[in-house]
Amino acid sequence: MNVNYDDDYIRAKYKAAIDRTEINETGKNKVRSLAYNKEMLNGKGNVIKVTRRITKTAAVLITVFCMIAVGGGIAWAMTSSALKDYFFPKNDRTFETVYAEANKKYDFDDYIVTYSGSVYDAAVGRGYLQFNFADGSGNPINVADALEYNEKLGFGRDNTALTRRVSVHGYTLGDTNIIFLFMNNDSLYTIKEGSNVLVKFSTSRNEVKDSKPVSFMVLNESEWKEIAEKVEELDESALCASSYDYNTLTPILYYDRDSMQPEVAEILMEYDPIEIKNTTSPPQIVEEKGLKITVGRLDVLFEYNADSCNAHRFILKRKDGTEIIFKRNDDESWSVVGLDKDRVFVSCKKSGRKIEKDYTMGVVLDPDEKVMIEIE
Amino acid sequence: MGGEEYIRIVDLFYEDIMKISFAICKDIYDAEDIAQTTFIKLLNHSGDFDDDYHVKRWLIKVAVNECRILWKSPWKSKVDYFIPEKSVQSKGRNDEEELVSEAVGSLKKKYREVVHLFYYEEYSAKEIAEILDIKENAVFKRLQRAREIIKKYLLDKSSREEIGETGYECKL
Repeated sequence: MNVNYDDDYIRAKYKAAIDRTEINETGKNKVRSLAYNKEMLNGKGNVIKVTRRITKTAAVLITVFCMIAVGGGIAWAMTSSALKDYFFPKNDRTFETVYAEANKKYDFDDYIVTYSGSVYDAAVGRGYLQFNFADGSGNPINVADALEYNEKLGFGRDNTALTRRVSVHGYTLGDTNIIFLFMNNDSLYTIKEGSNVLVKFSTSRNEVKDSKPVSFMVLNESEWKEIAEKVEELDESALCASSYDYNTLTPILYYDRDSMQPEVAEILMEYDPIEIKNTTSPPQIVEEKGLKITVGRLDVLFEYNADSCNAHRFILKRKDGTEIIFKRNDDESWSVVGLDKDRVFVSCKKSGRKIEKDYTMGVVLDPDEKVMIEIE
Repeated sequence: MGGEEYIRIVDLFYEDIMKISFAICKDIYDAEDIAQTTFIKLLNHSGDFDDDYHVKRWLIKVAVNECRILWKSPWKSKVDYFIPEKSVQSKGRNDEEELVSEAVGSLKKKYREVVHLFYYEEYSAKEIAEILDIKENAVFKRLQRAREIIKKYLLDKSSREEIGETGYECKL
C-alpha cells in the first residue's frame, strides 16, 4: 500500500485519533463546580482525585519514612570520626600543601613536571587542582593519576564536570618548558597513552609531538546559549566545551572538529572560529631573543623563544605605538599562558618547583590588531 | 473571573485542555490533574483577556507549563508508571489513526508538544514559539524532526504488515 505520509495525512489521522479520546464528564463537572466552591480550591485543588491523592500521599509518606531511616543510619555512622573524615574530608589545603603531598607521593625528582596548576571550571563554578607529569621526553602525561590524587585530596573526581571541561594551560618551570594542553573528556583518559594530546607547543629544546589542529573560539553569553540550543536540537549531548577565562570567565568554546558530528561542526563554523594550524615542526624562532605573537582572526601564529623566561620585561606593542609593559622580579619567570583572538594572557610566577606566586594578566586587543611582544 | 464566565470557558475549552495535556503526558489521570490546575489558575487569574482566542492560548500555555512541571517533579522523574496500552477509551477504532497516534506517542515530550499544537490546534510556528517560549527556528526544527520520526515509524509498521509479520514463518 502506497500512502503519502505528508502533513495532511498526519493531521487528519492525528486529529481523528485525538477526537476519539473520550473525556470524562465527571472531571469536567468537577472543574465547573469550582466556580461555586471557591473554598474547595484551598490552593491546590486536592479535592477531586481523593483516592489517587491518598495513594500518592501514602507513597510519599513511606518514602519520607525510608529517607529518615536511611538518614538516621548515616548520621549514626557519622559519629565515627574515621567515617566522618572519609565522607567529609577536610578541604582546606592550599596549593602549596597539596603540591608538597603530591611531591611526597610521586617523587617529582623522577619526573620533569611539565604542567601543574589549578583548573577552574566555570561551567560548574568549581575549582580543581590538577597535576600532570611527564617524563623527559614530554610524555606520557598521567592524568589518571592526577584525578586519583585529586580524589584523595578531597577535590573530587567529578566526571560531570570533566565532561564539560576543556582546559588550556601553559606553564613554565625552570627555564625551558611552555606547554599548551587542550583537553576534552575523551582525551583526558586516553592521554595517558600519549595518543591524544591535542595540541602541544614546546620550546626549541623539545620537539613538538602529537600536534593536531584544534579550533577554538571566544563567545559571548548569548552566542553560547544560541549554540547550546542549536546543538541540543541535534541531540548532541557531549559537546566538548567549556567556559573558561583566567580573568573574566568569558565563555570560550574549544572543540576538535574531527571528532565531532558534522552537523555540530557546521553550526560551530557559523561562529567564525579561529583555527590553530597544525604544527608538525618545532616552532620557528624569529628573533634571537624575544617572543613574537601574531594574532589574527583566522590564523594564530605562535612562536616562542626559551629565553623569554629569563627576560625581566615583557613589552606588548600595539599597532598605534602604545606599549604595555609587564615587569618581573629576579626570582620570577614569565610565560604566555593563553591567547585568543583578542587577548593575550601572560603569567608570572616565581621560578623553581615550589610555586609561590602565580598570577595572570589579560590584555585586550582589537580582533585584527597585529601585536608584537618583545622581551628585554 | 466571574462564575458564569468561568463556566462558559470551561464548557468551551475543557476538552481542548484535556486533549493537549493527554497528548503531552500520555496519562489520562495526569491530564485531568493538569486540566484541573489550569482552570483553577484561570479562576484565580486577575488579568483581562481580549477574546476567547486569547483565553484559549493562555490556557494552553498554562497547561503546557503544568505538564513540564509535572514531568520535572521528583516523583514523576523517579517513578515509572506502567500504563496499559488502552488506558484511554476510544470511540470506535481505526487502524491508521491508531498508528499515527502511536507514532506521535512514541515521540519525545518536546516533539509531542509541537506536534499537537501544529497538527491538532493548527497554530502557526510563530504562535507555537510564543506558547512554548522557544524560538521559531526551534519550532521548525522540532517539527521537521518529529515528521521524520513519525514517517519512519509509519513506514516501518506498514512494511511489516505488508510482509505479514504475525509471527514466525513456517517453511515446509
